[in-house]
Amino acid sequence: MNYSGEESTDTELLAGDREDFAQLFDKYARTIYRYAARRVGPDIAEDIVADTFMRAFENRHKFNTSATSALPWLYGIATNLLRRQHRNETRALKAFARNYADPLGSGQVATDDTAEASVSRLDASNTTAQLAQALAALPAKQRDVLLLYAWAELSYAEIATALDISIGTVRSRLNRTRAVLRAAHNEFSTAKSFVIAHGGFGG
Amino acid sequence: MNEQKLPPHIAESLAAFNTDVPEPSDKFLLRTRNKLTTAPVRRTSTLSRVVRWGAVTVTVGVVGAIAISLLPADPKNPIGARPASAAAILREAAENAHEVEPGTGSYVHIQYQDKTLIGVPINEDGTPLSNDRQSEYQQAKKLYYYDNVVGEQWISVNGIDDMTGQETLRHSPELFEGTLADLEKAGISPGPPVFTMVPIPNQGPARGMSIRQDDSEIPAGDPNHPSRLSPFMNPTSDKLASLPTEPAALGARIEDDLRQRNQPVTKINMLATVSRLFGVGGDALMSPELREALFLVVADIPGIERFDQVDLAGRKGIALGVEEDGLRQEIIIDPDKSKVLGQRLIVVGDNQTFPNGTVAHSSSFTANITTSQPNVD
Repeated sequence: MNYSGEESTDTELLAGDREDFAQLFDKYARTIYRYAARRVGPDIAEDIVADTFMRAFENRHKFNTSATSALPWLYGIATNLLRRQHRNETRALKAFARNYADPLGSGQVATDDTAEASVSRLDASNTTAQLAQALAALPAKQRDVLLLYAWAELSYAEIATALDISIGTVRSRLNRTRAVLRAAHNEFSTAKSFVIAHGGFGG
Repeated sequence: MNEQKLPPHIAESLAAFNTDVPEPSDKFLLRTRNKLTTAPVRRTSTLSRVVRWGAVTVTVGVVGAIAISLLPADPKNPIGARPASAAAILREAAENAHEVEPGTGSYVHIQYQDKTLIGVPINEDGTPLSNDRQSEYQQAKKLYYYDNVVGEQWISVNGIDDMTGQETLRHSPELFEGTLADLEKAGISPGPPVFTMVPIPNQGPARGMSIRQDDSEIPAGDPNHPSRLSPFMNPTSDKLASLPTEPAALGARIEDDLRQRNQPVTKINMLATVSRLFGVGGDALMSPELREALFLVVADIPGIERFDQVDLAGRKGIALGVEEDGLRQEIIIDPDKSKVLGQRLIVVGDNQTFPNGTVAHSSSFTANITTSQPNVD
Protein backbone atom coordinates (compact mmCIF):
# COMPACT_ATOMS: atom_id res chain seq x y z
CA MET A 1 0.00 0.00 0.00
CA ASN A 2 1.22 3.51 -0.63
CA TYR A 3 0.83 6.35 1.84
CA SER A 4 -2.60 7.28 0.53
CA GLY A 5 -3.85 3.83 1.38
CA GLU A 6 -4.12 2.64 -2.22
CA GLU A 7 -2.60 -0.55 -3.50
CA SER A 8 0.90 0.28 -4.74
CA THR A 9 1.52 -0.29 -8.42
CA ASP A 10 4.34 -2.54 -9.56
CA THR A 11 6.20 0.52 -10.76
CA GLU A 12 5.95 2.06 -7.29
CA LEU A 13 7.11 -1.14 -5.67
CA LEU A 14 10.08 -1.31 -8.02
CA ALA A 15 10.95 2.31 -7.35
CA GLY A 16 10.76 1.87 -3.60
CA ASP A 17 13.01 0.30 -1.01
CA ARG A 18 13.73 -3.32 -0.22
CA GLU A 19 10.51 -3.77 1.70
CA ASP A 20 8.57 -2.52 -1.30
CA PHE A 21 10.42 -4.95 -3.49
CA ALA A 22 9.62 -7.72 -1.02
CA GLN A 23 5.96 -6.93 -1.61
CA LEU A 24 6.51 -7.52 -5.29
CA PHE A 25 8.05 -10.85 -4.35
CA ASP A 26 5.00 -11.71 -2.24
CA LYS A 27 2.79 -10.80 -5.16
CA TYR A 28 4.46 -12.84 -7.88
CA ALA A 29 6.85 -15.42 -6.40
CA ARG A 30 4.28 -18.20 -6.35
CA THR A 31 3.24 -17.51 -9.93
CA ILE A 32 6.80 -17.60 -11.20
CA TYR A 33 7.47 -20.69 -9.12
CA ARG A 34 4.50 -22.60 -10.54
CA TYR A 35 5.56 -21.77 -14.08
CA ALA A 36 9.17 -22.77 -13.45
CA ALA A 37 8.18 -25.92 -11.59
CA ARG A 38 6.04 -27.08 -14.49
CA ARG A 39 9.00 -26.65 -16.74
CA VAL A 40 11.93 -27.91 -14.70
CA GLY A 41 10.56 -29.39 -11.49
CA PRO A 42 10.21 -27.96 -8.00
CA ASP A 43 13.85 -28.14 -6.91
CA ILE A 44 15.28 -26.14 -9.76
CA ALA A 45 12.21 -23.92 -9.68
CA GLU A 46 13.25 -22.66 -6.25
CA ASP A 47 16.62 -21.66 -7.67
CA ILE A 48 14.95 -20.00 -10.62
CA VAL A 49 12.61 -17.98 -8.42
CA ALA A 50 15.38 -16.84 -6.07
CA ASP A 51 17.59 -15.87 -8.98
CA THR A 52 14.77 -14.18 -10.87
CA PHE A 53 13.94 -11.85 -8.01
CA MET A 54 17.56 -11.19 -7.15
CA ARG A 55 18.20 -10.16 -10.74
CA ALA A 56 15.02 -8.17 -10.86
CA PHE A 57 16.11 -6.29 -7.78
CA GLU A 58 19.51 -5.54 -9.22
CA ASN A 59 18.02 -4.44 -12.52
CA ARG A 60 14.89 -2.76 -11.25
CA HIS A 61 15.97 0.49 -12.87
CA LYS A 62 15.59 -1.23 -16.23
CA PHE A 63 11.90 -1.91 -15.74
CA ASN A 64 9.77 -0.11 -18.28
CA THR A 65 7.66 2.09 -16.05
CA SER A 66 4.99 2.45 -18.72
CA ALA A 67 4.11 -1.22 -18.21
CA THR A 68 1.20 -1.81 -15.86
CA SER A 69 2.41 -5.12 -14.54
CA ALA A 70 5.89 -6.34 -13.70
CA LEU A 71 4.84 -9.94 -14.25
CA PRO A 72 5.81 -10.22 -17.95
CA TRP A 73 9.17 -8.67 -17.12
CA LEU A 74 9.68 -11.20 -14.34
CA TYR A 75 8.65 -14.02 -16.66
CA GLY A 76 11.26 -12.75 -19.08
CA ILE A 77 14.01 -12.92 -16.46
CA ALA A 78 12.85 -16.36 -15.39
CA THR A 79 12.76 -17.53 -18.99
CA ASN A 80 16.34 -16.43 -19.53
CA LEU A 81 17.34 -18.42 -16.48
CA LEU A 82 15.27 -21.39 -17.59
CA ARG A 83 17.03 -21.39 -20.92
CA ARG A 84 20.13 -22.56 -19.11
CA GLN A 85 18.12 -25.57 -18.08
CA HIS A 86 17.14 -26.31 -21.66
CA ARG A 87 18.99 -29.61 -21.81
CA ASN A 88 17.68 -30.76 -18.44
CA GLU A 89 14.18 -29.78 -19.43
CA THR A 90 14.45 -31.64 -22.71
CA ARG A 91 15.77 -34.74 -20.99
CA ALA A 92 12.93 -34.59 -18.46
CA LEU A 93 10.35 -34.22 -21.22
CA LYS A 94 11.74 -37.20 -23.07
CA ALA A 95 11.67 -39.28 -19.90
CA PHE A 96 8.14 -38.09 -19.29
CA ALA A 97 7.16 -39.12 -22.80
CA ARG A 98 8.64 -42.57 -22.32
CA ASN A 99 6.87 -43.13 -19.01
CA TYR A 100 3.51 -41.88 -20.21
CA ALA A 101 3.66 -43.83 -23.43
CA ASP A 102 3.55 -46.96 -21.34
CA PRO A 103 1.81 -46.03 -18.11
CA LEU A 104 1.55 -49.56 -16.82
CA GLY A 105 5.17 -50.18 -17.48
CA SER A 106 4.42 -53.22 -19.62
CA GLY A 107 2.19 -51.98 -22.36
CA GLN A 108 -0.67 -54.05 -20.96
CA VAL A 109 -4.12 -52.89 -20.12
CA ALA A 110 -5.26 -53.27 -16.50
CA THR A 111 -7.58 -56.23 -16.23
CA ASP A 112 -10.27 -54.42 -14.25
CA ASP A 113 -10.64 -51.70 -16.87
CA THR A 114 -13.50 -51.86 -19.25
CA ALA A 115 -12.27 -51.82 -22.82
CA GLU A 116 -13.63 -48.33 -23.28
CA ALA A 117 -11.99 -47.00 -20.10
CA SER A 118 -8.70 -48.59 -21.04
CA VAL A 119 -8.65 -47.02 -24.44
CA SER A 120 -9.70 -43.69 -23.01
CA ARG A 121 -6.99 -43.77 -20.35
CA LEU A 122 -4.32 -44.87 -22.75
CA ASP A 123 -5.58 -42.31 -25.19
CA ALA A 124 -4.97 -39.58 -22.64
CA SER A 125 -1.61 -41.02 -21.64
CA ASN A 126 -0.41 -41.24 -25.18
CA THR A 127 -1.61 -37.76 -25.99
CA THR A 128 0.42 -36.50 -23.05
CA ALA A 129 3.41 -38.54 -24.13
CA GLN A 130 3.12 -37.22 -27.66
CA LEU A 131 2.90 -33.69 -26.36
CA ALA A 132 5.94 -34.14 -24.14
CA GLN A 133 7.83 -35.52 -27.09
CA ALA A 134 6.78 -32.59 -29.25
CA LEU A 135 7.77 -30.10 -26.57
CA ALA A 136 11.13 -31.80 -26.18
CA ALA A 137 11.71 -31.46 -29.90
CA LEU A 138 10.92 -27.76 -30.01
CA PRO A 139 13.83 -25.33 -30.20
CA ALA A 140 14.27 -23.47 -26.92
CA LYS A 141 13.06 -20.16 -28.29
CA GLN A 142 9.85 -21.64 -29.66
CA ARG A 143 9.23 -23.57 -26.47
CA ASP A 144 9.65 -20.38 -24.44
CA VAL A 145 7.08 -18.53 -26.51
CA LEU A 146 4.61 -21.41 -26.49
CA LEU A 147 4.76 -21.95 -22.75
CA LEU A 148 4.58 -18.27 -21.93
CA TYR A 149 1.45 -18.23 -24.05
CA ALA A 150 -0.13 -21.48 -22.87
CA TRP A 151 0.99 -21.72 -19.25
CA ALA A 152 1.79 -18.17 -18.21
CA GLU A 153 -1.15 -16.97 -20.28
CA LEU A 154 0.68 -13.90 -21.51
CA SER A 155 -0.59 -12.00 -24.51
CA TYR A 156 1.53 -11.62 -27.64
CA ALA A 157 2.51 -8.13 -26.52
CA GLU A 158 3.45 -9.33 -23.06
CA ILE A 159 5.53 -12.17 -24.48
CA ALA A 160 7.24 -9.65 -26.74
CA THR A 161 8.03 -7.53 -23.69
CA ALA A 162 9.17 -10.50 -21.65
CA LEU A 163 11.55 -11.81 -24.28
CA ASP A 164 12.48 -8.47 -25.79
CA ILE A 165 11.40 -9.52 -29.25
CA SER A 166 8.86 -8.10 -31.68
CA ILE A 167 5.23 -9.15 -31.72
CA GLY A 168 5.78 -10.42 -35.25
CA THR A 169 8.46 -12.74 -33.96
CA VAL A 170 6.14 -13.97 -31.24
CA ARG A 171 3.50 -14.67 -33.87
CA SER A 172 5.83 -16.52 -36.20
CA ARG A 173 7.31 -18.62 -33.41
CA LEU A 174 3.87 -19.59 -32.21
CA ASN A 175 2.82 -20.46 -35.73
CA ARG A 176 5.78 -22.77 -36.02
CA THR A 177 4.99 -24.45 -32.71
CA ARG A 178 1.37 -24.89 -33.76
CA ALA A 179 2.49 -26.69 -36.87
CA VAL A 180 4.78 -28.97 -34.89
CA LEU A 181 2.15 -29.78 -32.29
CA ARG A 182 -0.53 -30.35 -34.90
CA ALA A 183 1.76 -32.72 -36.76
CA ALA A 184 2.51 -34.56 -33.55
CA HIS A 185 -1.18 -34.85 -32.77
CA ASN A 186 -2.00 -36.09 -36.27
CA GLU A 187 0.78 -38.63 -36.03
CA PHE A 188 -0.66 -39.88 -32.77
CA SER A 189 -4.22 -39.99 -34.18
CA THR A 190 -3.01 -42.04 -37.10
CA ALA A 191 -1.15 -44.38 -34.81
CA LYS A 192 -4.17 -44.70 -32.55
CA SER A 193 -6.44 -45.63 -35.46
CA PHE A 194 -3.97 -48.25 -36.49
CA VAL A 195 -3.66 -49.67 -33.00
CA ILE A 196 -7.38 -49.80 -32.39
CA ALA A 197 -7.93 -51.47 -35.75
CA HIS A 198 -5.34 -54.08 -34.86
CA GLY A 199 -6.49 -54.92 -31.39
CA GLY A 200 -5.18 -52.53 -28.72
CA PHE A 201 -2.14 -50.73 -27.40
CA GLY A 202 -0.56 -53.74 -25.78
CA GLY A 203 2.41 -55.69 -26.92
CA MET B 1 -4.48 -7.79 -31.45
CA ASN B 2 -4.85 -10.62 -33.89
CA GLU B 3 -3.92 -13.55 -31.70
CA GLN B 4 -4.57 -16.95 -33.15
CA LYS B 5 -5.64 -19.54 -30.64
CA LEU B 6 -4.06 -22.92 -30.35
CA PRO B 7 -6.25 -25.72 -31.72
CA PRO B 8 -8.60 -26.68 -28.83
CA HIS B 9 -7.39 -30.27 -28.47
CA ILE B 10 -3.77 -29.09 -28.26
CA ALA B 11 -4.60 -26.23 -25.94
CA GLU B 12 -6.45 -28.66 -23.67
CA SER B 13 -3.59 -31.13 -23.57
CA LEU B 14 -1.09 -28.38 -22.99
CA ALA B 15 -3.14 -26.80 -20.19
CA ALA B 16 -3.39 -30.14 -18.44
CA PHE B 17 0.25 -30.98 -18.95
CA ASN B 18 2.46 -31.27 -15.89
CA THR B 19 0.10 -29.45 -13.58
CA ASP B 20 0.84 -31.73 -10.68
CA VAL B 21 3.55 -29.60 -9.13
CA PRO B 22 3.69 -28.70 -5.44
CA GLU B 23 3.24 -25.17 -4.20
CA PRO B 24 6.42 -23.46 -3.01
CA SER B 25 7.02 -24.09 0.67
CA ASP B 26 6.55 -21.23 3.09
CA LYS B 27 10.04 -21.89 4.36
CA PHE B 28 11.51 -21.34 0.90
CA LEU B 29 9.45 -18.20 0.33
CA LEU B 30 10.43 -16.74 3.67
CA ARG B 31 14.10 -17.56 3.20
CA THR B 32 14.19 -16.00 -0.25
CA ARG B 33 12.25 -12.96 0.87
CA ASN B 34 14.68 -12.45 3.73
CA LYS B 35 17.60 -12.65 1.35
CA LEU B 36 16.06 -9.97 -0.82
CA THR B 37 15.53 -7.65 2.09
CA THR B 38 18.91 -8.16 3.71
CA ALA B 39 21.46 -9.08 1.05
CA PRO B 40 23.76 -6.23 0.11
CA VAL B 41 23.55 -4.95 -3.42
CA ARG B 42 26.34 -6.16 -5.61
CA ARG B 43 29.07 -3.65 -6.12
CA THR B 44 29.44 -2.43 -9.66
CA SER B 45 33.03 -1.39 -9.72
CA THR B 46 34.39 0.74 -12.48
CA LEU B 47 37.90 -0.01 -11.34
CA SER B 48 39.81 -1.89 -13.95
CA ARG B 49 41.04 -5.04 -12.33
CA VAL B 50 42.58 -6.94 -15.15
CA VAL B 51 45.23 -9.13 -13.67
CA ARG B 52 47.56 -11.65 -15.17
CA TRP B 53 48.55 -14.58 -13.06
CA GLY B 54 51.36 -16.98 -13.47
CA ALA B 55 52.18 -15.75 -16.91
CA VAL B 56 55.49 -15.49 -18.61
CA THR B 57 58.29 -14.49 -16.31
CA VAL B 58 58.07 -11.02 -14.90
CA THR B 59 60.96 -10.73 -12.50
CA VAL B 60 60.61 -7.12 -11.71
CA GLY B 61 60.76 -5.87 -8.17
CA VAL B 62 62.61 -7.10 -5.20
CA VAL B 63 65.33 -9.62 -5.73
CA GLY B 64 64.54 -12.67 -3.69
CA ALA B 65 61.13 -11.45 -2.68
CA ILE B 66 58.68 -14.15 -1.78
CA ALA B 67 55.77 -13.80 -4.09
CA ILE B 68 52.94 -14.22 -1.70
CA SER B 69 50.09 -12.26 -3.10
CA LEU B 70 47.38 -11.09 -0.82
CA LEU B 71 44.26 -9.17 -1.38
CA PRO B 72 42.00 -8.53 1.55
CA ALA B 73 38.80 -10.49 1.31
CA ASP B 74 35.80 -8.34 0.58
CA PRO B 75 33.16 -9.18 3.15
CA LYS B 76 30.71 -6.85 1.43
CA ASN B 77 30.86 -8.88 -1.72
CA PRO B 78 27.70 -10.92 -1.38
CA ILE B 79 26.95 -14.40 -2.38
CA GLY B 80 25.84 -14.12 -5.94
CA ALA B 81 22.36 -14.46 -7.16
CA ARG B 82 23.04 -17.60 -9.16
CA PRO B 83 22.14 -20.40 -6.79
CA ALA B 84 23.36 -23.37 -8.81
CA SER B 85 26.15 -25.66 -7.67
CA ALA B 86 29.74 -25.32 -8.87
CA ALA B 87 29.39 -28.35 -11.12
CA ALA B 88 26.18 -26.99 -12.66
CA ILE B 89 27.80 -23.62 -13.29
CA LEU B 90 30.80 -25.27 -14.91
CA ARG B 91 28.62 -27.44 -17.10
CA GLU B 92 26.83 -24.29 -18.15
CA ALA B 93 30.15 -22.68 -19.02
CA ALA B 94 31.03 -25.81 -20.99
CA GLU B 95 27.75 -25.70 -22.87
CA ASN B 96 28.40 -22.10 -23.86
CA ALA B 97 31.91 -22.84 -25.09
CA HIS B 98 30.72 -23.15 -28.65
CA GLU B 99 29.58 -19.53 -28.63
CA VAL B 100 33.22 -18.41 -28.39
CA GLU B 101 35.00 -18.12 -31.70
CA PRO B 102 38.83 -18.37 -31.69
CA GLY B 103 40.43 -15.30 -33.23
CA THR B 104 43.12 -15.00 -35.86
CA GLY B 105 46.19 -12.77 -35.87
CA SER B 106 49.83 -12.60 -34.92
CA TYR B 107 49.75 -11.75 -31.25
CA VAL B 108 47.79 -12.62 -28.19
CA HIS B 109 47.14 -9.37 -26.39
CA ILE B 110 46.73 -9.92 -22.67
CA GLN B 111 45.64 -7.15 -20.35
CA TYR B 112 45.97 -7.75 -16.67
CA GLN B 113 46.06 -6.22 -13.27
CA ASP B 114 47.53 -7.71 -10.19
CA LYS B 115 47.75 -6.88 -6.54
CA THR B 116 50.37 -8.96 -4.86
CA LEU B 117 51.66 -9.02 -1.34
CA ILE B 118 55.40 -9.41 -1.46
CA GLY B 119 57.34 -10.61 1.54
CA VAL B 120 60.75 -8.95 1.49
CA PRO B 121 63.33 -10.89 3.51
CA ILE B 122 64.93 -8.37 5.87
CA ASN B 123 67.56 -8.20 8.56
CA GLU B 124 66.69 -7.36 12.13
CA ASP B 125 67.38 -3.70 11.39
CA GLY B 126 64.85 -3.70 8.56
CA THR B 127 67.36 -3.62 5.71
CA PRO B 128 67.01 -6.21 2.94
CA LEU B 129 68.90 -9.47 3.08
CA SER B 130 71.66 -9.48 0.52
CA ASN B 131 71.58 -11.64 -2.59
CA ASP B 132 74.32 -13.90 -1.30
CA ARG B 133 72.12 -15.02 1.60
CA GLN B 134 69.35 -16.55 -0.49
CA SER B 135 69.48 -19.77 1.51
CA GLU B 136 68.18 -17.79 4.48
CA TYR B 137 65.26 -16.23 2.65
CA GLN B 138 62.74 -18.81 3.68
CA GLN B 139 63.32 -18.44 7.41
CA ALA B 140 64.11 -14.74 7.41
CA LYS B 141 61.93 -12.06 8.89
CA LYS B 142 59.87 -10.38 6.19
CA LEU B 143 58.22 -7.10 5.54
CA TYR B 144 55.03 -7.52 3.55
CA TYR B 145 53.77 -4.95 1.11
CA TYR B 146 51.41 -4.92 -1.82
CA ASP B 147 52.82 -4.73 -5.28
CA ASN B 148 50.16 -3.45 -7.63
CA VAL B 149 50.82 -4.27 -11.23
CA VAL B 150 48.87 -3.21 -14.26
CA GLY B 151 50.23 -4.54 -17.49
CA GLU B 152 49.75 -5.64 -21.03
CA GLN B 153 51.47 -8.37 -22.96
CA TRP B 154 51.72 -9.06 -26.64
CA ILE B 155 52.82 -12.65 -27.03
CA SER B 156 53.36 -14.22 -30.40
CA VAL B 157 50.72 -16.78 -31.30
CA ASN B 158 53.71 -19.08 -31.73
CA GLY B 159 54.45 -18.78 -28.03
CA ILE B 160 57.15 -17.02 -26.11
CA ASP B 161 59.87 -18.83 -28.07
CA ASP B 162 59.12 -16.51 -30.95
CA MET B 163 60.97 -13.83 -28.95
CA THR B 164 59.02 -11.01 -30.55
CA GLY B 165 56.66 -10.35 -27.68
CA GLN B 166 56.72 -7.48 -25.27
CA GLU B 167 55.17 -6.42 -22.03
CA THR B 168 54.39 -3.14 -20.37
CA LEU B 169 54.24 -2.94 -16.61
CA ARG B 170 53.24 -0.34 -14.11
CA HIS B 171 54.34 -1.23 -10.62
CA SER B 172 53.20 0.63 -7.56
CA PRO B 173 53.76 -0.37 -3.94
CA GLU B 174 51.14 -0.17 -1.26
CA LEU B 175 51.52 -0.64 2.48
CA PHE B 176 50.42 -3.88 4.04
CA GLU B 177 52.23 -3.42 7.34
CA GLY B 178 54.70 -0.96 8.78
CA THR B 179 55.29 2.51 7.41
CA LEU B 180 56.54 4.02 4.20
CA ALA B 181 59.87 4.51 5.93
CA ASP B 182 60.02 0.77 6.70
CA LEU B 183 59.29 0.08 3.07
CA GLU B 184 62.01 2.36 1.87
CA LYS B 185 64.45 0.86 4.35
CA ALA B 186 63.67 -2.60 2.96
CA GLY B 187 64.69 -1.34 -0.47
CA ILE B 188 61.26 -0.70 -1.90
CA SER B 189 60.68 2.73 -3.34
CA PRO B 190 57.34 3.96 -2.10
CA GLY B 191 57.08 6.41 -4.97
CA PRO B 192 54.63 6.71 -7.86
CA PRO B 193 54.02 3.92 -10.38
CA VAL B 194 57.07 2.76 -12.30
CA PHE B 195 56.50 2.12 -15.98
CA THR B 196 58.67 -0.36 -17.85
CA MET B 197 58.52 -2.06 -21.20
CA VAL B 198 60.32 -5.35 -21.50
CA PRO B 199 60.72 -8.01 -24.16
CA ILE B 200 59.16 -11.44 -23.76
CA PRO B 201 60.58 -13.66 -22.51
CA ASN B 202 62.44 -11.62 -19.95
CA GLN B 203 66.10 -12.30 -19.57
CA GLY B 204 67.57 -13.72 -16.45
CA PRO B 205 66.56 -16.46 -14.09
CA ALA B 206 63.28 -16.44 -12.31
CA ARG B 207 63.52 -15.12 -8.81
CA GLY B 208 61.45 -15.58 -5.73
CA MET B 209 59.37 -18.27 -4.11
CA SER B 210 55.66 -18.66 -4.04
CA ILE B 211 53.55 -20.17 -1.33
CA ARG B 212 51.95 -22.08 -4.18
CA GLN B 213 55.29 -23.79 -4.66
CA ASP B 214 54.60 -23.85 -8.34
CA ASP B 215 56.54 -22.93 -11.40
CA SER B 216 54.49 -20.06 -12.71
CA GLU B 217 57.58 -18.31 -13.95
CA ILE B 218 59.30 -19.47 -17.09
CA PRO B 219 63.02 -18.70 -17.16
CA ALA B 220 64.11 -17.08 -20.36
CA GLY B 221 67.38 -18.91 -20.73
CA ASP B 222 66.26 -22.52 -21.01
CA PRO B 223 64.39 -23.46 -24.21
CA ASN B 224 63.80 -26.96 -22.86
CA HIS B 225 62.40 -25.90 -19.54
CA PRO B 226 59.34 -28.09 -18.87
CA SER B 227 57.16 -25.05 -18.34
CA ARG B 228 58.17 -23.63 -21.67
CA LEU B 229 57.31 -26.90 -23.38
CA SER B 230 53.99 -27.17 -21.57
CA PRO B 231 50.88 -26.35 -23.61
CA PHE B 232 49.30 -25.03 -20.43
CA MET B 233 52.14 -22.69 -19.49
CA ASN B 234 53.24 -21.59 -22.95
CA PRO B 235 50.29 -22.22 -25.24
CA THR B 236 50.25 -22.00 -29.00
CA SER B 237 47.45 -22.90 -31.36
CA ASP B 238 49.29 -26.06 -32.41
CA LYS B 239 50.01 -27.18 -28.88
CA LEU B 240 46.42 -26.63 -27.85
CA ALA B 241 45.11 -28.41 -30.93
CA SER B 242 47.09 -31.48 -29.88
CA LEU B 243 45.33 -31.72 -26.52
CA PRO B 244 42.51 -34.23 -26.09
CA THR B 245 39.01 -32.79 -25.90
CA GLU B 246 37.46 -35.66 -24.03
CA PRO B 247 37.35 -34.49 -20.38
CA ALA B 248 38.81 -37.62 -18.75
CA ALA B 249 41.67 -37.75 -21.25
CA LEU B 250 42.29 -34.03 -20.87
CA GLY B 251 42.34 -34.38 -17.08
CA ALA B 252 44.94 -37.13 -17.42
CA ARG B 253 46.94 -34.90 -19.76
CA ILE B 254 46.95 -32.11 -17.20
CA GLU B 255 48.15 -34.55 -14.56
CA ASP B 256 50.98 -35.61 -16.90
CA ASP B 257 51.86 -32.00 -17.47
CA LEU B 258 52.11 -31.39 -13.74
CA ARG B 259 54.41 -34.38 -13.36
CA GLN B 260 56.58 -33.20 -16.22
CA ARG B 261 56.88 -29.86 -14.48
CA ASN B 262 57.74 -31.63 -11.20
CA GLN B 263 54.58 -30.39 -9.60
CA PRO B 264 52.46 -32.52 -7.28
CA VAL B 265 49.20 -33.69 -8.80
CA THR B 266 46.86 -31.96 -6.41
CA LYS B 267 43.38 -30.54 -6.74
CA ILE B 268 44.74 -27.04 -6.37
CA ASN B 269 47.35 -27.58 -9.05
CA MET B 270 44.79 -29.08 -11.42
CA LEU B 271 42.59 -26.06 -11.04
CA ALA B 272 45.53 -23.67 -11.17
CA THR B 273 46.74 -25.23 -14.41
CA VAL B 274 43.41 -24.66 -16.10
CA SER B 275 43.20 -21.12 -14.79
CA ARG B 276 46.76 -20.39 -15.84
CA LEU B 277 46.13 -21.59 -19.37
CA PHE B 278 43.42 -18.98 -19.74
CA GLY B 279 45.59 -16.35 -18.06
CA VAL B 280 48.59 -16.74 -20.33
CA GLY B 281 46.60 -16.26 -23.49
CA GLY B 282 45.20 -19.73 -24.09
CA ASP B 283 41.75 -18.19 -23.93
CA ALA B 284 42.35 -16.55 -27.30
CA LEU B 285 43.84 -19.63 -28.92
CA MET B 286 41.77 -22.60 -27.81
CA SER B 287 39.07 -24.34 -29.79
CA PRO B 288 35.50 -24.44 -28.48
CA GLU B 289 35.91 -28.17 -27.95
CA LEU B 290 38.95 -27.69 -25.74
CA ARG B 291 37.23 -24.88 -23.86
CA GLU B 292 34.26 -27.12 -23.20
CA ALA B 293 36.46 -29.97 -22.02
CA LEU B 294 38.46 -27.70 -19.70
CA PHE B 295 35.35 -26.60 -17.87
CA LEU B 296 34.21 -30.20 -17.58
CA VAL B 297 37.61 -31.19 -16.18
CA VAL B 298 37.21 -28.54 -13.51
CA ALA B 299 33.66 -29.74 -12.80
CA ASP B 300 35.13 -33.18 -12.08
CA ILE B 301 37.71 -31.98 -9.56
CA PRO B 302 36.62 -33.51 -6.25
CA GLY B 303 35.36 -30.95 -3.78
CA ILE B 304 34.97 -28.11 -6.26
CA GLU B 305 32.58 -25.63 -4.71
CA ARG B 306 31.01 -22.37 -5.60
CA PHE B 307 32.05 -19.56 -3.27
CA ASP B 308 30.87 -16.13 -4.14
CA GLN B 309 30.18 -13.75 -6.91
CA VAL B 310 32.72 -11.14 -7.80
CA ASP B 311 32.95 -8.19 -10.07
CA LEU B 312 36.14 -7.71 -12.05
CA ALA B 313 36.34 -4.56 -14.12
CA GLY B 314 32.59 -4.57 -14.48
CA ARG B 315 32.70 -8.23 -15.39
CA LYS B 316 30.58 -10.35 -13.14
CA GLY B 317 32.12 -13.67 -12.29
CA ILE B 318 31.54 -16.60 -10.03
CA ALA B 319 34.35 -17.97 -7.88
CA LEU B 320 34.61 -21.74 -7.81
CA GLY B 321 37.32 -23.37 -5.81
CA VAL B 322 38.91 -26.29 -3.99
CA GLU B 323 40.60 -26.38 -0.60
CA GLU B 324 43.77 -28.22 0.16
CA ASP B 325 46.53 -27.90 2.74
CA GLY B 326 45.39 -24.61 4.20
CA LEU B 327 44.75 -22.92 0.89
CA ARG B 328 41.82 -22.51 -1.41
CA GLN B 329 42.44 -22.08 -5.10
CA GLU B 330 39.64 -20.37 -6.92
CA ILE B 331 38.89 -19.87 -10.55
CA ILE B 332 36.59 -16.99 -11.43
CA ILE B 333 34.43 -17.61 -14.43
CA ASP B 334 31.67 -16.08 -16.47
CA PRO B 335 29.60 -19.13 -17.37
CA ASP B 336 27.46 -17.18 -19.83
CA LYS B 337 30.48 -16.26 -21.91
CA SER B 338 32.41 -19.44 -21.17
CA LYS B 339 35.32 -17.34 -19.95
CA VAL B 340 37.79 -17.47 -17.11
CA LEU B 341 38.07 -13.96 -15.73
CA GLY B 342 40.72 -14.55 -13.12
CA GLN B 343 41.75 -16.51 -10.09
CA ARG B 344 42.33 -16.20 -6.39
CA LEU B 345 44.28 -18.10 -3.80
CA ILE B 346 42.97 -17.82 -0.28
CA VAL B 347 44.45 -18.81 3.05
CA VAL B 348 42.01 -20.97 4.98
CA GLY B 349 42.19 -22.19 8.55
CA ASP B 350 44.93 -21.40 11.01
CA ASN B 351 47.99 -19.79 9.57
CA GLN B 352 50.68 -18.17 11.64
CA THR B 353 51.24 -15.33 9.21
CA PHE B 354 47.89 -14.61 7.61
CA PRO B 355 44.38 -14.65 9.00
CA ASN B 356 41.82 -17.14 7.79
CA GLY B 357 40.13 -15.88 4.65
CA THR B 358 43.01 -13.76 3.49
CA VAL B 359 43.08 -13.70 -0.28
CA ALA B 360 46.60 -14.84 -0.89
CA HIS B 361 46.69 -14.14 -4.58
CA SER B 362 44.28 -12.50 -6.92
CA SER B 363 44.36 -11.82 -10.58
CA SER B 364 42.18 -11.18 -13.54
CA PHE B 365 42.86 -10.93 -17.22
CA THR B 366 41.54 -10.66 -20.71
CA ALA B 367 43.10 -12.06 -23.84
CA ASN B 368 42.41 -11.25 -27.48
CA ILE B 369 44.13 -11.92 -30.76
CA THR B 370 45.62 -8.89 -32.50
CA THR B 371 47.52 -8.45 -35.71
CA SER B 372 50.26 -6.21 -34.35
CA GLN B 373 51.92 -4.87 -31.25
CA PRO B 374 53.36 -1.48 -30.37
CA ASN B 375 56.94 -0.88 -31.46
CA VAL B 376 59.58 -1.94 -28.98
CA ASP B 377 62.62 0.28 -28.66
